[in-house]
Amino acid sequence: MPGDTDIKFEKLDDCRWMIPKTGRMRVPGIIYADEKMMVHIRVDKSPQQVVNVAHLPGIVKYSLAMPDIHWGYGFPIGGVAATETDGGVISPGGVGYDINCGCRLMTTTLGLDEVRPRIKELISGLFRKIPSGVGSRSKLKLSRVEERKMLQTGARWAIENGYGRQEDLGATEEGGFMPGADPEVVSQRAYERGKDQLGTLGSGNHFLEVGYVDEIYLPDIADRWGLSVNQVTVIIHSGSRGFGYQICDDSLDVMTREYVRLGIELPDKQLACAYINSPVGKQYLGAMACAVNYAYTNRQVLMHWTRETFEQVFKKSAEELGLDLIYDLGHNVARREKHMVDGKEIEVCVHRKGAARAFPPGHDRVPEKYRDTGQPVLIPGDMGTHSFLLVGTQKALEDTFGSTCHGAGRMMSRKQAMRTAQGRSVAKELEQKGIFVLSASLATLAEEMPEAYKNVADVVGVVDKAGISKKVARFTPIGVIKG
Amino acid sequence: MKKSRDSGSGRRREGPRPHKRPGRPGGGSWQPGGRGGPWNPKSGHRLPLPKKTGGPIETKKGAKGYRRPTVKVPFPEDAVERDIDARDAASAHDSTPLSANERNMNGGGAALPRPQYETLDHTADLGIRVTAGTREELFENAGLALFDLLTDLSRVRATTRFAFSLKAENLEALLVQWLRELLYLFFGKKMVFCRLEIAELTEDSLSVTCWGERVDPERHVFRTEIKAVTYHGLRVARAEQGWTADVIFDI
Repeated sequence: MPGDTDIKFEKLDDCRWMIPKTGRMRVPGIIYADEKMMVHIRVDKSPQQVVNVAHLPGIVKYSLAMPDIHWGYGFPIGGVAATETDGGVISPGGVGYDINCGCRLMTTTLGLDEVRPRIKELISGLFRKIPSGVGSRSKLKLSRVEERKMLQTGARWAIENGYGRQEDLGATEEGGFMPGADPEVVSQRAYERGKDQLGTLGSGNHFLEVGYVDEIYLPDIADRWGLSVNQVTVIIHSGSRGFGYQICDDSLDVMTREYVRLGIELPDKQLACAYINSPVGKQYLGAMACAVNYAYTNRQVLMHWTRETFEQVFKKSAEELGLDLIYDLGHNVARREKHMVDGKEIEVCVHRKGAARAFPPGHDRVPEKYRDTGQPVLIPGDMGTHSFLLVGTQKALEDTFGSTCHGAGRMMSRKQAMRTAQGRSVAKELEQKGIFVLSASLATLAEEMPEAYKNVADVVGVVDKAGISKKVARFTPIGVIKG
Repeated sequence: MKKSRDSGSGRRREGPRPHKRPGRPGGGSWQPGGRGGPWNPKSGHRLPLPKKTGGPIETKKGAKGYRRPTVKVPFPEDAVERDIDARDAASAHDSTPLSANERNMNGGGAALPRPQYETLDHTADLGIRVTAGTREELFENAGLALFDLLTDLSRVRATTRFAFSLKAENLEALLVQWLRELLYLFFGKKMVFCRLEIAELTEDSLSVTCWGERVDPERHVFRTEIKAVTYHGLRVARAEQGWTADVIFDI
């Protein structure tokens, strides 16, 4: 396999680098990054992955990567690729193991001064209420029937069972569920792995963060969305837990044999795929939709428990506290969408792995309440760093199939992070910065230290400059719970 | 895949217990809220489920759920319980390699084998490099290394025996399938194994007996959540003194 030194980059502008079509690439590659980032990116093996993705049958326009690009399984993290549904392939590596890993943002009517003095109480309450960490067990017990309903209807199921309000659906991407979920094609193993994990936060880079708005960039939009400086907010970052991991694993197992059988030539085994309109492809999409719905339900339940904890601590109802959902979006999903390619509108399957959707105003797949401003895009920073809220743009629709970055992306390996953490207490350092952290695991705390990640502000800066999404507001954490 | 399995209890019991038959009335695998309430081992009947008003049942504390009936399994003669040496989080991923001979020592029982591996530096994921004298030991070490990343093996008792076999296209795929199976047993079946003995290993199949117990959140410490075993950088090769393998996990 050619090394990175063989890859030629052409600078398109300050934010974009093109990899021209060579060899058996079907389309060129485009990486969104600035000069400084490209220094690191060239060393990482991820540009090679951008090249590899360009070999997928049915891929159209470009093999894209967002500024938080880093090496992943088959597709790079931060990768975006659209394949024609007619004759193109679906690749589970383009969705990721943590299917519909995503995040949601809640606002409150509380101000920083009201919450800061009680942050320890609040975070402790959340930590008690919300199971987190490896091996954490769910508090929910679903019968088979309920489980199937949940997998088919996602967040709707949660709300019907008392875990939230009807309005929450209007602020969730695609109404909080993906149609076409087929519980019958999900393996017994995935059920077993997932059954104890519904309503758990997870571990690794998942978190629940209480913060506040510290900067507003687009006052009009921020106003419309109900954001103001010093307003306390909550961000929940979680996914489909073991259920999604097992589904991806099972699918890769099947597809690794399938693509060979079909005679598809791929430079990387991990891009294993199947034709979208084939039984194997449909099976994956059916199972993936179940995992997508599982994750929506998970975040809805976590949000409900967050509301309950706030109620207990502040002795007011969630309505009085204004605990409203601003938006929920996923950044590891493949969706059927209509896009303009070569002047024609065609249906494609857009793979976004570590990339979020960023649709513009007027788009019919943006929930009604955001149709005049454009879709909110929540970019969670990792533990202890800023998070951002952006808005989708027309340029994204034209250039990146309506996609943008998803977060920061790792820079340091876990071992490196552990070594860097030796003798330091990450929790204490964060506390000195004014962030109170409760984590289920000390090791995770070290591995997830802020230095292990790229700077999310830089990443967001690039997408903002490129015009594929525009900064609306910035959040600073004051309390975090981590698995 | 042949499975012979005795389920065991995570708790120590005083004195001998009468041997109980595994399985339960109605047969089939246990499902939550599936066929009735908890099984009463004394009467041999299921208790009726509480009246449901529909929707999920939310439990107060952790999910104790329904308990399986306990079955006494003969303790393997050479399994010895080790003193628990709580390792601190910072050194969670370092390990001291034991020689293969140490592991196979007789007389006084082999100490439960400590996995022989090192972690590979990788930006977002976690890799391991395993070495061993024989191919069988290589696979055993890889399996133990996986469990070592998942939990503190020194707290795991060998009270349950579990045997199965696997097939794959070639040796490297077999290694992946082996580790995938163990991962599934940990996260899906809530089993953790501290001792693995491969009875037979060919280019495309293996059969193994595993000793361990059911995961007990109160006793066992969880470390890293491993999502899956990947094919990236997969390598199984001969080394100067035996065999070596590289595997990367998605975490």
